[in-house]
Parts: sequence; structure tokens; C-alpha cells
Amino acid sequence: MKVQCIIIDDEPLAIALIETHVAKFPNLEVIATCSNALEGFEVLKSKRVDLIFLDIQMPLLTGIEFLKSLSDPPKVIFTTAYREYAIESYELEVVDYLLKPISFDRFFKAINKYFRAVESKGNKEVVISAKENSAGFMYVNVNKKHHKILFSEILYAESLKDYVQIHTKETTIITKDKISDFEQKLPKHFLRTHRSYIVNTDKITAYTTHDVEIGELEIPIGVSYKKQVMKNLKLT
Amino acid sequence: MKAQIHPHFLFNTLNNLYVLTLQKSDKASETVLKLSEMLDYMLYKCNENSVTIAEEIQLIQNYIDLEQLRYGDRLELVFNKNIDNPQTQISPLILVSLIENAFKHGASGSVTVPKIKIDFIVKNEHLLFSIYNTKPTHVQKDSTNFKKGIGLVNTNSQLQLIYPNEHSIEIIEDKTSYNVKLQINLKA
Repeated sequence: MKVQCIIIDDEPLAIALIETHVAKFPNLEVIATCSNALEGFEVLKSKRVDLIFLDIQMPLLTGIEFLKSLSDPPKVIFTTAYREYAIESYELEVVDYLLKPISFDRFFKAINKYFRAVESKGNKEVVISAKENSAGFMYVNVNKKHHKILFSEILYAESLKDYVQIHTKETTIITKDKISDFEQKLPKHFLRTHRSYIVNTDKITAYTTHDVEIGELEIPIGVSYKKQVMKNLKLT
Repeated sequence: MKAQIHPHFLFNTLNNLYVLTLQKSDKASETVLKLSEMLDYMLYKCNENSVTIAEEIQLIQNYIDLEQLRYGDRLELVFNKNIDNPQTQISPLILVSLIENAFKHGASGSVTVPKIKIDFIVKNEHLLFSIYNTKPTHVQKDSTNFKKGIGLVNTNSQLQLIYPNEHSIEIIEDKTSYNVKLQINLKA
């Protein structure tokens, strides 16, 4: 089930921006856009709304007044050009507070926060995915808790049938995922060396034609991956 | 005295500009130039004692264009100009806070189609400036610290300093509209 979002903003271009960003998330959908808070009330009466992107300074009723007037509000992400309402918004327990101009990177983080917030409330599990990930980290799902992992901390990942074991210097995390799907979520500097292994090329200390080394660790290179691996390693 | 353009105007405009660039819209380049001209004017020209009417009108036009980008078709705007000599000198940035006020209380405060009407007449170095805006049907609590009249108070004190006893200001207000009429003897 997709996350149903509405956008409330009095500026048409500002709405267009949020719509553009939302379109990058296959599991989110915009079900309505409103140019003022009164229209927002109407939508909330008739439809299921999971998340509101809410401008603050608007005709008739400000975003803050609108939110205060709701008895059981959906999750809210404020979108505003005003820097000065951040503290008040924390008291309203909003998911995030986005300052215009709103970049995709920052928006991506806000959506991650949203998923963490609904997860911790024990809601239905939703896995985040975005067509582009330039944030430098990912969240992996471990027993319904999303753990943040910086790509720079990952040494290598190993396939365990329907699970992936992610090795960092400090710990090992196991998440339910197929290694080929997991590979898609990683940036370019991660290299599939074997049916069961992906390595972070930044961490490689040495390599031969049959394995790559990360310090003491030896990770095998599969026969069918050899050509591609050699090509990549020589380029880097 | 610093110009009364607020940072949120700048950030809202940048947000819109960001959308236009993502959409690869032709309006983007135009908007960059308008914003750039405005900033140049407000950062540098405002240090001069006087500018030409033509320059001041260009600033107002840029400001209006950027505001219209924000509100789209919702806003009905008329800008009448009748200038006998565009080289007439005027002290910079006196009028802009009045215009910002009109947008603030007129355009962003109304749900139905708001109207703003500006008349700018210069004849024999005498300025007649009038700005009219419709008022919102429902008055919201102003939580942005943008107190009504602040713009006017600033304009008044600016006028007292620059054109003492050479100006008059008249406010006509009713339930649905707000109109400021300003006259200045620019020879002074």
C-alpha cells in the first residue's frame, strides 16, 4: 500500500517542486494538492492521508494553526521559507522541517525520517527505496528497525540465501534481502566479485587474479566475474 | 536605512527558481536576471542619494514579476505608469516597502482572486503614487511579525528625512480594500 500524501501550499511552483520530488519514490503518491488549509480539511474528511507537506505562511490559516486544530493529525513535514518556526514545530512533533529551497537530498532525508517514525509506532512495514541515492548512507531493515549504515563504513557484503550479511569494521548486520537486489542499492564503487560477495573498492588493500584483500580478509573472485572485476580494478 | 525586502521573499523566489531549473523552463533564465538586477539595485544603488525614475520603475517591475511568479494566475495586477521625464531624480527604495505590504496583505492574505493596482505618475518633478490592494475576507493572526503598518512607519520616517514638508500621504481603508496615496515634490 502506497503512502498517501497531500501538499498544502499557496504557491503553485512550490507544489510542483514537492510533486517532482515525491515522484522519485515509487512507494509514495500525491493524492491531492491544496492552495490553502481549508481545502486541506476537506481532503482529510474524505480520504486516508498518511503524510502532509505543509507550508506555514498561507492565506486564511497558517500551517501551524491548521495542524494545531487537527485532533488526530497525520504525519507532517513542514515546508517553509521562514527560518524562525523550527522550535515551535518541534513542539508540534512534526516529522521534519524543510527550508525552501528544498533540495532532493534534504527531501530524501525527510522521507527517511517519516519511515522511521511510522516504523517506531509499529505501523505496517514499509521499505524505502528511491531512484537515486546520493546521501552517502542507507537504511537496512533488521527486525523492523531501520539501521543507518554509511557506505564508507561497509567493507564487504556476503550472501546468505535470502539474507545479506553486511560487514563493517565494527559490526556485522544481517538483513533480509537478495544480494543482487542489495547490489542495486549501492553506489558505483561497490563491486560484485563473486556470486556471494560484494566489496567496497575503496577498502581494497591488494588483489590477485583469484581474490581481493581488505587487510587480513580475503574475498574470492568468481570465475564468471573475473573479467569484469579486473577491468574495474585496473580503472580505479 | 536598509531596504525592507524580507529574506523569505528571497528564499521563496529561489525555491521557485529551483523548480523552474528542474523543469528546464525558459522562465528560469529570465528569473535569474530579474533577481540579479534586484539584488544589484538593493545592495549597491541604494547607497546613492538619488536614482532616475526609470531605474526605480525597473526595480518595481522586477519585484512585481517575481511576486507574480509566486502567485501565478491567482493574482490580478495592474501597473499604470505615466512619466513625463524618465530621468527625473528620486531617492531610491522609498516605494518598495509599500508595494511589499500590498502583496503581503493583499495577495498572500486572500483566497479569492486578489487585486493590486499601482499608479505611478510623474509630471514636472511631482510624483503621485497610489497603491491599492483588496483585503482578505478573513483576517489572520499575523504570526510572522510582519506587523501591519511597519512598512508604512518606515516609509514615513524615510520621507521625513529625505523630503521634509515636501510630501503628503493619505490612507483610504475600508472593509474590502486598502489604498495608500503618496505625493512627493521631487524638486526638493
